[in-house]
Amino acid sequence: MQNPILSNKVGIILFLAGWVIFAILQSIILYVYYNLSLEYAIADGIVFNLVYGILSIGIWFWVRYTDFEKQKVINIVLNHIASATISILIWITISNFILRNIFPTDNIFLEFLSSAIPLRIAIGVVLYILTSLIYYLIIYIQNFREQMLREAEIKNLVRDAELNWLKHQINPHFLFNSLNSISSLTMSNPDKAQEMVIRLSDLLRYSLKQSSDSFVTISDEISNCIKYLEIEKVRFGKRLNYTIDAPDNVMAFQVPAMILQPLFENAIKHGIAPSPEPGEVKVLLESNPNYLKIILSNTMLGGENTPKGMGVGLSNIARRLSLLYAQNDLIQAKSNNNYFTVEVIIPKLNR
Amino acid sequence: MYMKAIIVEDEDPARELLRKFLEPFTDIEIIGEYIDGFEGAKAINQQKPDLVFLDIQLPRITGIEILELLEYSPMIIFTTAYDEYAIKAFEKNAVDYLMKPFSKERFAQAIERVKTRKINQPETIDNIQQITENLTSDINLTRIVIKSPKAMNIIPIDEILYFEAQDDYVMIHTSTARHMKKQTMKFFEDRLNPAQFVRIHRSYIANVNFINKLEPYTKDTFIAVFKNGIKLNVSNTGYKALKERLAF
Repeated sequence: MQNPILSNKVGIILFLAGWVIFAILQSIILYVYYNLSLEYAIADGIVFNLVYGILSIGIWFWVRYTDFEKQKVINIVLNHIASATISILIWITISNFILRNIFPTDNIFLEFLSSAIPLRIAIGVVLYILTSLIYYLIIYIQNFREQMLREAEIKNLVRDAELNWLKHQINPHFLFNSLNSISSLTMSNPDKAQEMVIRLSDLLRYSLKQSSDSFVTISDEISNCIKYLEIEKVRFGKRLNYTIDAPDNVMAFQVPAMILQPLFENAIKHGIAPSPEPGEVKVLLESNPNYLKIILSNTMLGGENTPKGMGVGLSNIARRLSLLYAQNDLIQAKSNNNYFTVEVIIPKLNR
Repeated sequence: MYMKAIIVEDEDPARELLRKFLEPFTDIEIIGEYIDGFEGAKAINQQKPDLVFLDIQLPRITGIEILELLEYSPMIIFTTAYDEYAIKAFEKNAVDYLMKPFSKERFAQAIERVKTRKINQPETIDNIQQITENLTSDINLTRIVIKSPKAMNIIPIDEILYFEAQDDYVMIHTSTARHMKKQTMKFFEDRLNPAQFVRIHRSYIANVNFINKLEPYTKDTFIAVFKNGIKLNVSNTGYKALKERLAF
């Protein structure tokens, strides 16, 4: 990563301004307290701060590649001691070398340069710490900003997921076709139309009540599905025949809400709707102490429509199950003898 | 103005609704009702109604595919529940489309349009081809419907060996038959699964599942040998495309 100070205009201005101020301060102090002549004081201030300024750019990389989360504190401290020693050594050597070459004959100043070395070391350490602290602060701010952005993004994703969930619950194709059936029944059979409005309302209420992570009993799911199937039966007439085989001992089993209806929707979409002939959807429920097994099969239109794997509908269910139970093998599909069969395993909740 | 009409709609209540709404229009006679898209297409071609009420989601083939099979251009009113086929694309071409559920007034409006259209501008077959092209632009084909003088066929995509360009037509080869369809190679190239179908030559789109091996032919070209022994030329570009898709 590039040095953040050099990557924008404000950074460069602040950086230069900082070192100019240090240079001026140093010159004034040397002039006032160390009785150096103005010429020497200014030269000293400029050279030492110019050299440190350049070195401080390099310190960034040292800071950047020591990570408190990944390395031990002792290693980081040792790294910095080494880096500080090298930096300060280079700093004093180069600065002294330059000043000696600018003023080769002035003994008083040369003597001052030698005697000031211990003080320079102390100043060097302070400057090193200051520089690295500023760099750590910059990294911290950058990380903080990134995290804010990421959190905002995650919030967006969660919201999108929820919207999709809602969209999936109310399949527009089903909804509008059902409303059309009702519209037709209001003329030919008002009682049946009323019955269908009530069923549709119950169905919508049930699906709106549930969220993507709520659990209900399989008995609730079944009674919801019967409402759904009865509505579809009005639409498809003789083409839709269904049986639900659920023994009493499975009825209290806890399952994710809205897990059964999408299975029926899928069966109707691929088994009943594409065929002009009467078809069949049947579901069989079995349970043991560890899981509930849902076996749903539907007739298929022979020949060209043989499904090869799981369509979008089943993949969505598979995805939901794997998110809820952290298991990827809970759903299986196979087809033979003009029947398409889906087997879903719902593990028992431990709570 | 006497008109014959056919209804192709797979849901009983929806058909009943159309019948009820049509009652006041005594000059329109329903000569047939079909729940199956394929049967519907056959009946339309045989009985040649002036007007067709067409649902889009139907058993066996869709209402859009029915359009492709028609030998003439009846006036069409689409009835559909949900705008997933970007119906606006053919608003200008079909006489009208009704979004379910629709009111008696809206239905009467559609019938008015039919009557006006019948007097003013009879539709042409080209128009219908335009419609189907617009409608299927982003749909991955799973089957192709073809009409021949003798029969209508539904060909599953997986059974197709290759497509061959023939002037204004495309010859579709399966292991048992060949079918001619008035369409462009580009149309199929855009709508086929690129992992399965590759344009191996200016004149051929091949189903890679049926290719057995590639033999060198000249310096730059190859020959694709199919499992049943058919050999097709592969151009240099085609070879590159094959190599990319099959990763060999």
